[in-house]
Amino acid sequence: MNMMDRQTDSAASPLSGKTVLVVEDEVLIAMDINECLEEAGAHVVYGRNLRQGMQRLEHEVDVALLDVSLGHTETCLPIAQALRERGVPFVLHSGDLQRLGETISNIGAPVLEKPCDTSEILQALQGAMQRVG
Amino acid sequence: MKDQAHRSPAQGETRAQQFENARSQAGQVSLSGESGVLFEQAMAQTRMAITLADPNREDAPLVFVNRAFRELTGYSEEEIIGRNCRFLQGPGTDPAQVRKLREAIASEEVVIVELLNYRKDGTPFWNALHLGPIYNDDGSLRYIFGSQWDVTDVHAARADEKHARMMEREISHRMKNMFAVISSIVTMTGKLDGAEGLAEKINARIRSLGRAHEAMLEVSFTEGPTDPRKLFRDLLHPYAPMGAGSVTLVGGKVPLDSNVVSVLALSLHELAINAVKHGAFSVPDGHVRLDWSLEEGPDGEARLGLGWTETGGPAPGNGAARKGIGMTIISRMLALGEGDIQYDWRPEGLHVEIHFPTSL
Ligand SMILES: Cc1cc2nc3c(=O)[nH]c(=O)nc-3n(C[C@H](O)[C@H](O)[C@H](O)COP(=O)(O)O)c2cc1C
Repeated sequence: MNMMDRQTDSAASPLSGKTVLVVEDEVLIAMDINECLEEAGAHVVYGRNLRQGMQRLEHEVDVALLDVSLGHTETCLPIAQALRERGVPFVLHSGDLQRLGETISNIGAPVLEKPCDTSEILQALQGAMQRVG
Repeated sequence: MKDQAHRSPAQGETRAQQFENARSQAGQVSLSGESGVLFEQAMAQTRMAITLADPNREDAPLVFVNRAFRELTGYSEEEIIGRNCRFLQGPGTDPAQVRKLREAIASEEVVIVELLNYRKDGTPFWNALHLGPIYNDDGSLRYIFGSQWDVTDVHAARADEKHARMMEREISHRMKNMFAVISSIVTMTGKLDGAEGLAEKINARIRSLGRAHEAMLEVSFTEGPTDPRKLFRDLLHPYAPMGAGSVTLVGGKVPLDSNVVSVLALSLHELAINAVKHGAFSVPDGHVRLDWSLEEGPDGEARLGLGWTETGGPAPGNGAARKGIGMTIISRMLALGEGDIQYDWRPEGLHVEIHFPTSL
């Protein structure tokens, strides 16, 4: 994706003005995703592990992108449950569909397989918001 | 002698010593009468399974087994005595090991083999079997002494280890391929778009990442703190004018999560290429000292502190002007991971302090 695309996207983007929670334990991936979201006009709150992700829930968020496995043993499951209770839509992001297949299908939310293009992430988040709103 | 026989094997005693002791005791008693009772009592105490076979009778039947042997195999005394011990063998038993036993018995030698045996209930176990002859005073063969030891656990551990090593090699192989493929895509795309310079910059970063993850693979499959020395060496030596001679690494083992490795690799890569362009790695006598240690962060979290000290290079000019794209990437990346980086352009060379959580 090049800069031109991102700029034309952002004006009309449904994510513009929304608050997006991103939980992702690979800082480099988070950097890329957060920048794209910000370019689409979104406000990003970021957590790099389960503890931080839970803490960030103090913010009002409109939609969330959750990396499924966080660190050695943790998953985003508690965050997903908390979001569901509040009716906040979210999209899962995982590089390990095989090993985490069961966790993922238990959560029952749209899934993006890593690595994926940031434009797909934007689309998936928009789709999730539309389905709820 | 009798006292000894009642003692269970001492802690430090090796199995070979235990075997020899038990074998010599067995040689000094007859299986009937007073001393036979004592012998049986002694053998009942030990956790080592013990068997005696009579080689002078047809097919060398077992004439004595102790409690440990019955417990190990699940057979009762009546089911054992009078039979050749091969009834423990089954479909998974390696014939080559059985042949070793047969040959050792025929030539009256001591032999140790590990072979798969089966209990009465059919469950298999790995048996470390130790056989040796017992002679009469006149030198004629009296018994064959055998001791059995269940080494199933050891076997399982060895198999796990072998499997883990195989997986490691496979992963390492695939990872190298993956990084190579990514590199070629970048190079090809760069060429087609007339951006070879950019492609090379990207590729240098990808190569550093690849090297770092490769170095980590060798250490990271074991839990706990790892020695990052190999990781640092692999990252920095390609840029150092005199290789190992231009770099001093100072620090011990630290816990490192694999997702920290990317951040670490890219940070060091940027510092190294900066040193190649403007700093210590631009001259043959230049030197970089990298030291690291564990420290405690503001909220008690374990953090890694890295110190990068250049000496012997050209005096750094205006520091801020030297902060290129690479430096910007590191700063942003570290900030996102709640780390930080500080530059100090000392007259003798750049000094950088980096701090970030050991687990991102
Ligand atoms: C005292 C003694 C104990 C033995 N214990 C075992 C045993 O625990 N497991 C086993 O598989 N074979 C054991 N053997 C070996 C077999 O009895 C037999 O000697 C071996 O299978 C080789 O002979 P074959 O080829 O005629 O079967 C023992 C042999 C002797 C003499």
